[in-house]
Amino acid sequence: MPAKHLLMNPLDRIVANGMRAVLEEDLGRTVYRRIEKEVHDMYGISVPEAVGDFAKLDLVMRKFFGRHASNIESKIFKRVLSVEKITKAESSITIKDPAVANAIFESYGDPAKKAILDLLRSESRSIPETIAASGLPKASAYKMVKELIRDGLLAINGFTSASDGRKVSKYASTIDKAVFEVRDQHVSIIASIQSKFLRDSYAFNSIHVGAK
Amino acid sequence: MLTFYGELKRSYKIPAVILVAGVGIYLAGTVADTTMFTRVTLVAAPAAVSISCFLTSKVYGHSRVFGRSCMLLGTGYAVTFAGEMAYFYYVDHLRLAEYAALGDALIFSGYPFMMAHIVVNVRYFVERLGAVQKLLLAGIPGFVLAGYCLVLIGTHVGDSAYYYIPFVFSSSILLGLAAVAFSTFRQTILISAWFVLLVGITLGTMGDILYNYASTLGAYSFGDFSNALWIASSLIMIYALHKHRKSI
Repeated sequence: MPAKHLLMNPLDRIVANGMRAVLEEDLGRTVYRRIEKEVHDMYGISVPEAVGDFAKLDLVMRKFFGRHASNIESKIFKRVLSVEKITKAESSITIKDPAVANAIFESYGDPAKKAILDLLRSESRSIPETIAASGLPKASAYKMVKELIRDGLLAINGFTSASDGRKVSKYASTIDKAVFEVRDQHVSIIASIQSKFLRDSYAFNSIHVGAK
Repeated sequence: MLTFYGELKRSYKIPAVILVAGVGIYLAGTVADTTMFTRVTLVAAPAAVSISCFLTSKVYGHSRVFGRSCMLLGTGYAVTFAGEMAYFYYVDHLRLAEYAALGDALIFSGYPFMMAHIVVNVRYFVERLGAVQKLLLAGIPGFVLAGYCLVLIGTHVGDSAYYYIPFVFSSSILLGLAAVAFSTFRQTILISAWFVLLVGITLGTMGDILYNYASTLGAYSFGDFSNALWIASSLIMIYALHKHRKSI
């Protein structure tokens, strides 16, 4: 069974990665630390993990900001990314948060990481299969896969059986197509992702439903 | 849901002690019959609030909402400090009464910064003001200004009354905004901080009204009670900033 943080929806992970920056930028590091501490004290998890279990984060945010919490959550989501188009199979999003976009930009700029992303764009594979197919040294390839998962660029897409019969997760590239726009040293990304990632996102659903 | 009355019952003690301390400082100056003591306190009070604001802004890492709004409030009080200094140096020390307008202009230009402090906070947390908040925003300045004008009409003052009306109006808008902010933050962890801030601004507005009324009548002196209200207001504002830092 993969660790809980590896199961997180890639879109939630992107929001989680941007959340810290947005909260620190808007309300200050002190406030983010207080939220972080409260999430940990109440649920024993980190803020990024709480984004994947949005009800928990929402409860903590409500404890701090009352009914205005949903407004702040919506602001955070909109500052990190905007959903441009949703169809049944594919959706288009713009990743606006500079830190998140920059991390993704750097991943695509790294030839080894790009090779892993290219491998997993057409076909889902388990982590050992990916490492083997990449032809990269095992340790560094494993580290890169972890980083790509952390940045929300790889997501679980089905399961397969390992050689010893264990059920293992298969990973796929989250972004099918990406257009990078660099303006005034800020990177923004227009990306096509599978709509199921959007449908399965706690953050997107909570904020989208809350906004209706 | 916490109401104004509920929060008053919970947090009245320290602001009440500070108010008594402010009145005590004022009485000390009056009993000792020294304008210097009152004047120095009046100059030092906004400077202390301003420093406290800048320190609070630093605590919030100069962030867009809390950091920037504290910076704006600090700038407002810094400008007020400059106005009080102008009074202190030109009017009281050099006896150049014509420079009073410079002090007034500086004090007046502090209001927009203080208002901006509240606007930045409220705008981040609410998309649109509710009916009650709109009523507070329009009603409080309207009520204060109408009451002030009615009193002026009753006392048959000259044209100098018009000079002081913008000060009363600006101060009452600030009070209206503070009331809106309190109603915005009453369900949040920051309720106590905004309650104390509302008390501080209310005292400041009361001081402004008393001062402007006395000035209109040409009856202002250092023994005026508006000084006690201003000193207490500044001390309570410092406590509000401390409370903000401690609440979150």
